[in-house]
Order: sequence, then C-alpha cells, then structure tokens
Amino acid sequence: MSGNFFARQRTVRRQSFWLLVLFLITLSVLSAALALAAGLLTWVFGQAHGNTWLAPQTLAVAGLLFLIVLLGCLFRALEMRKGTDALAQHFGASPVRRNRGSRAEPELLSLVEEMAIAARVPMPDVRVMPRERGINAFAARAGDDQYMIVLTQGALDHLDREELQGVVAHEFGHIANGDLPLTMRMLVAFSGLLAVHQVGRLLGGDSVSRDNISPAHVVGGFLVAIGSVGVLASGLIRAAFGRRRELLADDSAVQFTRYPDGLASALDKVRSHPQGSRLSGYYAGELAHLCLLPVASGGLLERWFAVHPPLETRINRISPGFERRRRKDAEAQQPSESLSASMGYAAVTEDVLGGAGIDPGGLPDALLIALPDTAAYQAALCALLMIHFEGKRALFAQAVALNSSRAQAQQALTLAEKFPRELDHYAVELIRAAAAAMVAEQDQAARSEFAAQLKKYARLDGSMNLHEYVLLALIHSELCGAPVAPTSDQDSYQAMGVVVSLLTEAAGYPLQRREDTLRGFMGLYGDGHVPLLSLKDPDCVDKLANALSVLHGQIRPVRDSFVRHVATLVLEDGHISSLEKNLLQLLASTLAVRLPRLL
Amino acid sequence: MSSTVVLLIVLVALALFVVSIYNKLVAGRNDFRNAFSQIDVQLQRRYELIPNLVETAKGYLKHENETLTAVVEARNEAAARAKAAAAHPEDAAMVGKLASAESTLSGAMGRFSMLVENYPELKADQTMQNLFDELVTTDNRISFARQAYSDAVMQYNINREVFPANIVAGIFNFREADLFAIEEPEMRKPVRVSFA
Repeated sequence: MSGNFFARQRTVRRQSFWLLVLFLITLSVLSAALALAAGLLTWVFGQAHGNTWLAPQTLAVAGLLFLIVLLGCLFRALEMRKGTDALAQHFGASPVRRNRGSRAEPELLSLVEEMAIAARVPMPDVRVMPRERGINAFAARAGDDQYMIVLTQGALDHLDREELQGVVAHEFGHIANGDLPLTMRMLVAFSGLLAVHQVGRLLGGDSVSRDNISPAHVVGGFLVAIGSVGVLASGLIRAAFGRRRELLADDSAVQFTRYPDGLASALDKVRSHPQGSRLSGYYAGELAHLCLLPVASGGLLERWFAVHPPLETRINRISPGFERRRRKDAEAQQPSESLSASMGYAAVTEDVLGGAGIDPGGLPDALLIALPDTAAYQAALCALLMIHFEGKRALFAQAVALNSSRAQAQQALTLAEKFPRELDHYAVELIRAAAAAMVAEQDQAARSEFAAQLKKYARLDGSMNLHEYVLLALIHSELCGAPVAPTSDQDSYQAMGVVVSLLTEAAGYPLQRREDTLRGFMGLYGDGHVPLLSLKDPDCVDKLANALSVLHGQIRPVRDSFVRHVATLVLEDGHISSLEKNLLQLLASTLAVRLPRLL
Repeated sequence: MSSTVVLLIVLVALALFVVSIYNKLVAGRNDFRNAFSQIDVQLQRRYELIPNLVETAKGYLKHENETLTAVVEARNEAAARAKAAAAHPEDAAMVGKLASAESTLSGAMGRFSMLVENYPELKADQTMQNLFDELVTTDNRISFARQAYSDAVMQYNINREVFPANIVAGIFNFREADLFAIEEPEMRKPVRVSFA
C-alpha cells in the first residue's frame, strides 16, 4: 500500500539525520587528530632544535594544515558554483523548449510543471542529454533557488508518461528535501580531507627507505594516515547517507505522484534495459552522487560505497508486490487506451480506495496457486458468486455440475470454502484475470454462454443482492467486451441515471435520499426524467452492462468528467464501502478512465 | 545568587524553545496559505479558459443557450467564491463553499462537453480542441495543487497538534486548517438545490 509513504519518509529522515551527526563527529575527531599531529610534529621539531611548544615552526605546520583543508574545500566549492548554463554545457545537456517540433518535449515540460506544483518547488530548468542512451536523470543546483533537472535521451525514449513522471518526481524529491545543498556540503568537507591525504602523499613520497627519514616524511606519513582514515570513514558514511536520501526521494516521489507503480516500473525498465542506467560521457564519475540510478555497475565492495540502494530494494519498498503484478499483467494484456489518450490522467486508484483499506494490487499468492488453468478460473468465478449464497451452496454446486461438470462444481465448492475472504477482497482482480485467461482460449460465443450461465446460477436462491449484480455486470463486461458504437445523447443520459441510482443504493441511502440525489445529479446533465433503478428489476444486470457499454461509446472528456463527478458523489459521505469500490472500479475500467485523484 | 543565574538560564532556554515552536508554526501556516494560492492560480486559469470556450461554442450552439448560461453562471459563482476563499484560506466555511461551487461547475462542464458531442463541426474546430486540451491540462494541475495543499495542511496540523506545540498553538491561536473538501452537509446543498 502506498498510504504509509509519510511514515517511511519520517523513518528515513531520522536515519539520515543520525548519519549526518555521525559524519560531523567523524570530522571533529579527525580535526582533533590533526591537532594532535600538529602537536606531535612540534615535538619532533623541538627535539631537533630545542624549541618549545609554540615555536614558529609549529604554528607554520598548523597553519599549513589549515590552509590545505581550506583550499581543498574552496576548490571544490568554486567548481560547484558554476551557473546553470556552464553546468549544462559541462554535461552536454540541451534545454527543452515548449514550442519545439517534437511532441514529447511540451509533454515533458507540462509533466515537470505538474510535479513542481505537487512538490511546491519553483519550476526548474529542464534539460536533456541527447547522446546518452541509458535511462537516468539527475537534479542539480544552479543557484540559490534555481534548480535544473536533466534527463537522458534514453529515459525519454524508453519510459512512458507515468514512468517519466515517477522519475521526475524522484528528482523533485531531492530538491524538496534539500538534498542538493546537503550533499554538496558533505562533498566539500570530504574534499578537504582528500586534500590532506594528497598533500601527505606529496610530502612523504611513495617509497621511504629506512635510512633517511626526514621530518617531511614523518609529516607526510601522519597526513596520509589521518587523510586515509578520514576519506574512508567519511566516504562510507557519505554513501550510507546518500542511500537514505535516495529512498527518501523515492518516498517523496510517491507522495507527489500518489502512484508508486510509475517509478517502480521505470526502475524495472532500467533493470531490463541493456544499457541500464549507465552514462557514457567523461563526466559520469562526477555525476554519480546526483543521479537517479548508479552510473556504472560495481563489484561487491562497491556496494558499501554505493550511493544508490539496489533496484530490487527500491522497487519492493515503494510498491510491494509490483513484480508479481507485472508478471500477471504481461500474461493478461488488456486492451487499454494509448499513452497519448490517457495523457493527463496521472491520477490514482489508491488515493480513492485507500480509505476502504483495499489493495488494488494483484491476487494473493495462495489464490494464484489454486488457479492453474482456465477451468480453475471458471470455477473461481462460480465460487465468487457462491460465497454470497450462505446455506444454499449445495444447490449452486448441483446446478454447476448439471450444466458443465462435476469436477468444476467440486472445485468451486472447495475454493469457496478455502478462500472466502480472498475471493471477496480481490473480486475485481480475479474477474480480470479470469477474463484474460478465457479470452486467450475461448471464442466470444463460449464466453457469453458462460456469463449467461453464471447469471442463471445467481438467480437460484430466488433473490439477488446488489453485490451479485455488480459482480455479474463486471463479469459480463469483461467476458463479452463492450461494443463500441456511437451513442446518442439521450442513451448516455439514461445510462448515467442507471449508474448513479445503483451507486446511491451501494451507499445505503434511504429511498427518499436516493431519489433526491439522483434528481440533483442528473439535473446537471439534462432535463429528462430518469427512473430510479430498483434492485427488484429482473433486468438490472443487463441494464447496468448496457449502460456501461453506452457510456463507453462517449468521447473521453464526457467519460472523464462523468467518472470524476460520480467519484465525488461516492466520497460525499466520507465512506467507501467495498460495494462502492467495486462499482467505481467497474465504471472506471469499462470506460477506460482512471479513477480521479480525490481528497 | 547562583540559583538566580540557573533560573535565568532555564527561563531564557524556555523562551527560545517557545520562539522556535512559534516560528515553525508560522512557517507551516505560510506554507499551506501559499499552497492554497497555488490552487487559486490554477483555478483562475480555468475561469479564464471557460468563457473562451463558451465564446467559441456560441457560434455553433445557437439553440443551446440554456446550457451555455448554466456554464457561465456556474463559472462566475465559482470564481466569486474562489476570490472570497483566497482572501481567507484558513476559513473552512469559505473553502467548503468553493469546493461545492467547483463541483457544480464540473457538472455544468460535463453537460457542456456532452453537448459538444452532438456538433461534429464544433468538435472538429481547432480552437475548440486546443481549449479542451488546455482545460484538461489545467484540471490536472488543479488536482496536483490540491494534493500539495492537503499535504501542507496535514503537515501543519501535525506540527500544531503534537506536544508541546499544541500549548503554544493554543496560546497564540493557531487554528486547525481544513482540507479542500466538502465537509458540512449544508455546504453540499447548493449543488443539488440549484439544479434540482
């Protein structure tokens, strides 16, 4: 569930805070060691010349050390203070402009703008590295409040809109969490230590023979020792800190997009992409700490010094169960709208459904194992209806045995007994998976036949509740597909009425309130009278299925605004029942509209 | 003598602590006000787009004045409430009224886009298509701005409620901020009554 990303952010933030403290402690311990070294050197010089502690030489050595550290820091800081353009040129990145020929660039800009709004950060400069084929991105600081987001051409070529959104949101996470100035300061301090180490090596020389140890060699040796300890220790801490900040940026990306699968899927693509996240330019090493992903592949030891956590960890962290779902999706490839058609619908199901505590992910493993083939899926659909048949399951099983086979009846009974909660909870996912399996093996007529049989079974106990209606309608629309035909306004109007009146039923409103709600809602769309659909209507399921196929024929703005509107209706009483969830899911999936982002 | 010094130090430390909490609360409040103004910016953008859309459609929809009027009225109502709410973003009632006006506007726009469907020439009009695209983009931005606003509100409310900040918040009257949602039943009414 993506709902706990705020909690995860707090944890990682706390961890990285303590790492920062550790880093500062290391620095002060090393400064103390340097002071001690200065004292020791005094002693060495004192022995030679009979001087006291505060000899000019001592002060000179201490001053020199201080100067070395300062120069090392200054050099690095100056290098980092280059303007945006210099920085971009350095990385071979060219700016993205709104009115360019290619379609992708304005889209990228509008996507970045959306994320800037979500992250409450001023709009950064957007650049692309045209020669880089790997999938990667980084954010850089160009001035006090001026940032730059750079993407590789590979990222633009291989990622779809939602994945790109996840990647951009991750970079915005770095910006919003203030990672850039923080890591920059750490790098500056690190460079100071590095300078101590390098000067030490310069003084001491590489090969020291035992006979001619000069004071310079002693000084050099000390500096190398302190410098290496410092570089090693602070390097380790810096890397651990960097990894925490990467996770934090991932969590922030989920907060900004409210869609963990976007980033998860992007990271997954990097894994399977031959070029991976590698950069080819000479600047690759310099960029390592800034990038979304590691710029080179490393060995075992490098994991300790890696600035990035492993991809698997990151994917599982932001979107548990992502890989399982991905596998299933690959098997059950459903027709869906293209990227350009769905553009701008970066909305999220979890957000709406989070309140009901329902995971929109895939089927649980236990259930998946119990469903090896199409026949098992059919049995599962029977079982799904059966679990609402308290006491009359035997009757149901008999009907199944008569109509198809005894084995299927037995299987359905077993499934209904073993997985009552799972079946209820994952109804929508189960129906989709079953439909995908059946579409692959059977023709339209056989599937319609099966759907019709299910409808008959459901009527066996003499009554039908709304839950069964919804399930049957969903099965019907998934198995038989919605016919794509141009629809008239009047039909759409009536179809909307059907959906809304069932939704008010799902909300459990009393009759008078249902009528008021329906009238109020439909008044916004037209003037005709819409009858309140009753559950006692024997054709309820057909009507709902029909209504959905009529609405499916509408143009996208209409479908979209209708689903949005209906979702506000559902949220109005601040409560989403599992039935309402099913209806909304059904509506959104048949209309090929994503459920809108709602508060 | 020394106990006075100790007392003085404790008092100064306490004062500094309170000041830091107070400043944090002020920063949080400015944060969510600023986030609200972001929503407002995007809403204004939409309010500017809608009249253009209606103007473009007018030429084609000669006999559909009623729908167009409804859209314009809903737009004007929402724009007026947005203005009122922007002046007092911490006033829950104002924000709630805006949310309900927004919902009316969405309904009217839904009806409008359905109407457009009946006029193929209007649908094919390039200006119309551009405006529709722009509207979709703006709607998207509004939803992200609303999300950012509710995140900021949540952060502020947490900062306000934790101990000991709640004491400071109580003394200096930092009120609880509200999400951009319809809370009170009376607030919802206008949506239904005005069109029923």
